[in-house]
Order: sequence, then structure tokens, then C-alpha cells
Amino acid sequence: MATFKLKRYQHNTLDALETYFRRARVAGHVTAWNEAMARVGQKFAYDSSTMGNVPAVCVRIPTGGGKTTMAAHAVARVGRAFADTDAPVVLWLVPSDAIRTQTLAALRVPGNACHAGLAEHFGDRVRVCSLDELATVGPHEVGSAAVIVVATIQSFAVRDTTIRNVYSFDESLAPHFQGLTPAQAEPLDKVTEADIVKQSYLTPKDVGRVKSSLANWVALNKPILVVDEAHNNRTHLAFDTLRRLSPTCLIEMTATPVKGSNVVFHVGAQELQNEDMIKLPIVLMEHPTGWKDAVRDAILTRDRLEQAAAQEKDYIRPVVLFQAQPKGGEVTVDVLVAHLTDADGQKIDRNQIAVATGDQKELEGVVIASPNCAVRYVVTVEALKEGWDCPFAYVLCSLQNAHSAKDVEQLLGRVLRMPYAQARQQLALNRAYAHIVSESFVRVADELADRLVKNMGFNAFEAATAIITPPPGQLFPPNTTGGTVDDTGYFKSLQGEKPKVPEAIVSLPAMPAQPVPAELAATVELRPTTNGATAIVRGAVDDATEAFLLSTFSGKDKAAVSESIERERIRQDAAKAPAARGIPFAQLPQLCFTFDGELQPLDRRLCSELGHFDLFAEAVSLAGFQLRETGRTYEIDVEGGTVTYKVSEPEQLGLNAVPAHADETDLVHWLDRECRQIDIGQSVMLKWLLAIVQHLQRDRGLTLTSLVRTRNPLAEAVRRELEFRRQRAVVTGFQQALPGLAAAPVLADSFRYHFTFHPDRYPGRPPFYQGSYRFQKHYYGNNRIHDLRQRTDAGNLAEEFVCARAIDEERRVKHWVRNVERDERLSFWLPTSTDYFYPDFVAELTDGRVLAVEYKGRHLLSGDDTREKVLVGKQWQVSSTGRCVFLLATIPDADVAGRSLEQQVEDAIEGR
Amino acid sequence: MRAVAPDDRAKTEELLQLVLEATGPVLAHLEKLLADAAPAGASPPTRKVVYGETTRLGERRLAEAGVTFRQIPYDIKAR
Repeated sequence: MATFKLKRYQHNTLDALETYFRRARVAGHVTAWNEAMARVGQKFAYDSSTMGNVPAVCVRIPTGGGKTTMAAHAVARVGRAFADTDAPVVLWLVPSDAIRTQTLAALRVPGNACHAGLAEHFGDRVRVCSLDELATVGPHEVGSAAVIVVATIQSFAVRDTTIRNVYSFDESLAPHFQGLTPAQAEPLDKVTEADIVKQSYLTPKDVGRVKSSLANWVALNKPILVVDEAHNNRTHLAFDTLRRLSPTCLIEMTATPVKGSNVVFHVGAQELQNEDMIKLPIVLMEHPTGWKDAVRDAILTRDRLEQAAAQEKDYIRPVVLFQAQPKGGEVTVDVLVAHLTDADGQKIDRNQIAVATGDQKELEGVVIASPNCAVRYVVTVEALKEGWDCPFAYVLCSLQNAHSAKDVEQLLGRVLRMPYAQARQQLALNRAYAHIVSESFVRVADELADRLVKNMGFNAFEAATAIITPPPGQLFPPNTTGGTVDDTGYFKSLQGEKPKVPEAIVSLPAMPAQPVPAELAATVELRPTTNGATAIVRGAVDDATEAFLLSTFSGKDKAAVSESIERERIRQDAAKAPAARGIPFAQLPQLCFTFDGELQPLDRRLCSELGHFDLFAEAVSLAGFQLRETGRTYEIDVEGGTVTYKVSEPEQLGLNAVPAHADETDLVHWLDRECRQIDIGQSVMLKWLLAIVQHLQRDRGLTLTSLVRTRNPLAEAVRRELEFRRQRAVVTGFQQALPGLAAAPVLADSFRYHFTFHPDRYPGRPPFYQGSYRFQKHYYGNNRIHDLRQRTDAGNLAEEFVCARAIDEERRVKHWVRNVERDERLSFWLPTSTDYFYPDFVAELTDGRVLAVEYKGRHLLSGDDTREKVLVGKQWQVSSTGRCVFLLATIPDADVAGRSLEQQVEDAIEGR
Repeated sequence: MRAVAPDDRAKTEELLQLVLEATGPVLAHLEKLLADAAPAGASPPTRKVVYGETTRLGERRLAEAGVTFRQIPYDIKAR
């Protein structure tokens, strides 16, 4: 049985969406938006110009992040949070027919993560259909099963509504329009004279009747709109179209949002890599010596990868994607295939090659993932249009001009995908490869980086570091064929290399008018190219060099050169970072506790265990659920407001999801499914839930009907109650454990209770630090510091920044990390009774000790929360036998001795 | 996980215990069973699925042990 576990960033995204819509339900979509922005530390205003009062938000996620899967989960959760229904009607709009086919298949076929996403929430109560199939959905199904209609936006987008099928009368939909209330009928399209002309079976009698059309069906059911890659659709016309569908709300999923999209959550490419969704970096080889060399090297790369793949547990057969030139070019599909198979060419067996173009569809029906499949080379010209899933694409070989090639990003997207979404043991298989024919003047790496940013959702920094161009002959990390090479082994091999700043290569639109000034002659070299010039800068690009390179140009050219310089600086900075040079970060012992005769890191679950978490320890009650029945409505208090439910409205047929005569047992079982907990067995849970439901009826006088009607907020209240009760046990358990807590000792078998920062996996999220001060010792580089601002809104130096600077400038600090909160896997944390505590900064000292620094402003210094953090931090320091140092830093004014931050850091290191 | 023959009474009971609640000692015991069952010279599997009613182990501890935990009966679906 395949189960699909959502990745961390997918969880976070869905939580953010749900929270937004839950708040929008109570407080309105603009307030909800401002709160959402506050949570991610942004200040963008909500743009209502496109959808007006209909909440419309966007999730930004790079290509390869599992958009469709997330949308499948989102519709259920948003349906509940915002539309009070377990059976939403969803209109899922996609940009093209090929994607429509692909999406339909993904949502329908069991074993697909997208299908599993729907099944998790709806079980069997879900219908997925195209517009043509909508007639097979009965009126009784609407409201009792989720109905998901997948369509292209083009089927709706038209000015004259009589010429599209979706707007025309369709007899088979008529049952859906019987018994409409006037209020329901009012906003719908009516049959007009023009319709009678087009559809001859309509008679003048029909004029003015509600038209039973697809569009009206959609509008009647007020769907949740899901828009996949809306940037293609962002025209005025498209939004008119969307508004006409009277959606309840709109969720957009895209890699490249445009102005006016309300990006409520942004996932960075790094997060995809951290979760093994994509292969990075892209190892790029440019081939100036002609296409045959590119083809040869692509084949060699693939062969090497296949050797490496033989040592993997999962079956992988690496595949090369060739992008041939279109008809009329030199290397067309025919020329390429001939070269691949010819006796004086590459002598490849023709059955290993599949051609996938408009005319030749050799991939149809081929299951690439099957071990019986022979295909190792796929030849195409533009995008692979069909819904073709190639889990094994590893090498992209483009024979088109990198600048003008179409659809390179689509092909690149294929090779970026990680097979089985699990990191490979062979490092070589954790990367993607590109062999690209290069024209003389433009750097292919720049072109690719540009495409990663513009079309695939990478930010500039991620793109600059996502592409590496190794010297010829060093395409693979050392020692890939001999046994398992894990990351540590690879990074060890890198440490021998001296830290040196790679040279910067800046493309210029023309040769500068002045020669290189004498003082720059040693570091700057200019080379003419067919289309301008290239400047090669050895060492960092300093201000004088920048001024010289910019001096000749103005306007657009100047901006382009300036952009090119910034990109090179980012690249240089990234290469200089300790993590990039493979320098390991010291191991940090975790706080452990001996339990069940075993040393264990103290986590929440262990705390709740120690505190004897027991549902029946306290009287049965559900204080967090306040329901008032007032005639035809129910009012429920939720966090920050009141939600009103109407008893019954014809359009709110969601009630049917629960049998009309639902009894206690049905409700209890429904709650059990919704509120399951990994540390509570089902038998105990059912018993407790039954007690709760009976308590609400007996002691609070609520009717079963009202509980069933408001079951979603009820489930939410139950989940909160469970969390409260567990939390009380955690506090008790933590207090018991505290005296016995000890930093993990240095023993062979306790290695797993040490944390270290992974050189490749920093969970920091954009926006990254952008201050003018350049940090020298941040482990992941100056441009990748999470959540740190140099100045406050008022323009003063931010206190946390000053603290970071003090650490960076302290000579005994070897390197440091801005620790990212709420990532227990990739960040360093210590347990507390309420939550995990992530110290703000973690540094390794030159003498091998480690330093954790928590910064607190004056107003937070005296809180209970801070007191507990200090207690835990000190415990960690004391029990570490001198290996660990903990510091609570604060502004000089609030320090007992009035010391500067520099002094506080120094004193901590000195043990004063 | 290795299938247990019905006559292998002692081990069946131990595995039953595992099924009721996944705890540190249970996990350690499972590791030992797997190590014993692995052919000489081969390393025991690193990824395993444990079915149980509840678990006392945190996500991180489970991940370190290479365990995917499936909760009975919620994660058992009739096909």
C-alpha cells in the first residue's frame, strides 16, 4: 500500500492557506491577508483589482514542487474552512489541453499522490470529471460528493458567450436546474433570442428561462476555483471570465506569479531540495565545439549514471532528453536519430530511442519506469506535450541555441525531478546534468539562470547557485563508481581545495571605450566577442571594477551589466561560503534523557509520556466549543470572532454528507477520523469522544442535529482540547525531566543525538538578508541568511543585526549559522515545556567548542518563556563538560553590567 | 519485517507487543530481530514499516530508526 506523506513545505503551505481562509471566513479576506503577511514578515497590500470581494490568493512554488498534489489537498481544506462543506464543487482551470489530460489522470488514477490527496479527505465521495463528462454527475451527487471539474481556461474565455459550448443550452444538465429559488435563479444566464437562432430546438417559449448550460451549472454551485499557472491567463478578459463563474474563492498555484497575484505563501527552491523533490545543482557543460561533442558527452554522462544507479536500492534507468532543432535547422530529429544509430555515429540500438514530436509519438503507452522498458534516449523538439511522466530523466542535451530555444524550462523541469522523491545514495544521482551547445557570446549558465528565475520560480540567488560548471573532465564528484559515496565523503574530498574566489565573468554589450585602467590591469581582462565583450575578473568584483565596467554604458545596457555583476557577486559569495567549500560544522549535542533504559533526545512525545498523558485524567469537557442555537442559525465562537451557520439553505446541501438520521455513533466515528492522534489508540479515542458528545448534549443542552451541522468547528475544538491536555502533560513531564537532562555524551553510540548543520540543506526562507554589511563567516554565505534585517523600519540598526555582527567579527568564531525556527530536522533546538527552542545564532569556535546565542530585546527579557530558555540553555552548557556555551544576549542598556554585544559574546566565550 | 511461523510462539508474542505500542525498547528489539534474520554478511534493511496502535516515539526518533509508522486501524484501508 503506497501512502504519500506530504513534505514539510507542503504542510506549511496548506496550513497557511487554511489559516488564511479560516480567518477570511470570520474577519474578512483583507484582514486575513494582513495577518498572513504579518506571519511571513511581509507588508504587501491585498490587490482586489482582479477578483473584487472574492478572496483570491496565490501560492508561489517552483516547478517540481508538487503543485497538483497540494491543490488536491487544498480544495478539501479550504472547502471546510471557508465554505463549510465536506463536499465542495471545484472548478480546476489549467493552461492547456495537455495539462488538462495530465491533471485528470493524476486526480483519478489510484497510486498517484494527487489522487491520494483527494482520497485522504473525501474517501470515495469524490467525482473528477471534464466538462464533457459533467452530464454524468447527478444532481443528488452535488453536495454529497466533492465534484471536481477540470477544464482549460480557454473553454470559458470568450467575449461572445453564444459561440462557446459551455454557455449554450444543454438538455442533459436540466435536472440540476429544477426547483431553483428566485434568489438562485436571479444571477444566472437566461435563454436569449440569440440562443434560439444558434440552437434550433429552443423555442421562443424558452426565452427568459434559466439556461441549463455548463457555465450556469458552475455559477449555480459557487465553486472553489483552482487556477494552475495563471500567468498565462492574467488578462482583463480572463478575469471577467472568472468573475462570471461566481466563485466562492480562488486559489492560484504558480511558479511565476505576476503583479496583482496575492502571494499568500512562497516556497523557495531550496525547500524543494531539502525535501528531496528536486535534483540540484544542475551540472552544466557548454559545448562550443559542435553538437556532436554535446551528444557524445551526454551519452557518456548517462552511461556513467547508469553504472552508479546499479548500486541504488530502487530501480533507476537514467534517460537523456535530446532537444533537436526544428525543421529547417541543421540538427533535426532525423539527423540526430541517424547520428545516434549510425555505425559511424554512436551505434545506439534504435529501440533504446523514443522520438516524441508532433508527428512521431513513440512514447505513447510506454511505461518508462518499468524495468522491461528499453528507452534510454528521448528525442524531442519542443516541450513534451503529452502527459508523460518521466521519473528517470537525468540528462538534458539541447542542440538548439540556448538563447532562443523554446521550452527549455519544461525539459529542465523534467530532469530536475528526483526519482521517487527520495535522495539517492550515490551523490552523482542527486544532481541533474545539462549538455548544451553554446553560441559564442552568451554564457549558457546565465541563460539558464535567467530561465530558472523567470519561468521556474527560483530566486536570483538560488538560480545563481543552482548551476555549476565544472572544468572539463570533472563532471562527476570524485569516486562515484567505487562504492557508496555519501555526502560526508564527498565533502571531505572537497576540503583539500583551497578557498579561492572563482573568477567573475561579466558579459558586456560592447567593448568599453576606455582601456582597462592600470590599477585594475592585474585583475581585469577584456575579450572581444562577436556580439560585444566579456570581462573576466579575478577575485571579487570591487567597487572600482564595477565603476569601470559600467562607465561606458547607459540605460538598458547599464542595467544589464549591473545585473550581471550582481549575479557574479552572488555566485562568488556562494562559492566562498564554508558550506560550499565542504567544511563540516561541529556537532552539537542534543539534550537527552534516559527513559526506558535508553538514552533519548527529549522531544515533545517523550515529555507527554513522562507526564502521563491520559485523556481521562481530567473531567470530560470541551470549554473551547461555544455554540448558540438561535432559531434558524447557529453561532460558534472561534478564535477572534464568531461564525454563523444557517440551519438549512437549499444551496447548502453539504449536510447530505452525513446521513440524515446521523446518530451519536456516526458523529463519534466521523470525529475519530478527523481527530486521530498517533499517541492515542482508537479504542480510547472513541470512548473519550463519545463521552464528549454526550456531555455536550446532557450538560450543555445542545442537540445532536446542531452538533452534526457544526461538526467542522467541533472537530477543530476537539483537536485543540486534545492539544491542551497533551500540553499539560508535556509541562509536567518536562519539569520532571529537567534535573536529569544532559547534553549527549561523546560516545560512539550517541552520534545520532548530535545535530549538525547540513552543508547542502539550509531551511532558510526568502526574503534573505540584503543589508549593505557583508557577513564573512555565515556558514551558508552572506546572501542566504534567514530573517535578518540590517535596519528597522525607522532606519536604525536592528538589534539582532548588531548581535549577528558581533558574532561575525569575533575572532574566535570559526563560522556561524542563523538558526531557522520551526524546523526540527535541519535546525538546532533545545526542548522546553511549551515548544522547541531554536536559539537565534549557533556558532562553532576555533577551538572546537560550540556557542548558542539567543537574542532578546529588553521587553522580552523578563518573561517566563525567556527564563525557561535560559534554564535549558544553561543546563545544556553545564552538562556538556565544557563543550558547549550558551549566551542570552541583549542590548547594552538592558544588560546588568551595561556591556556591548561584542563584550557579551567575548565574555561568554571566555567563560566570564 | 520477517514473517513469523505460527509455531514460533515466543517470537509471535514479542511481535504482538510491538504491534500494540511502538516504544524505544520495542524498536531496539526489532532491530535485533532484523539483524538476526539478515543473511550472514548482509546488513539488515534500513527502511522499515511498523504497524501499531500508538507510538511513544517522536518523529525524529522514528526517522533516525528508518521507521515509517502506520497506525492501526486508521492506516489500514480495505481495498
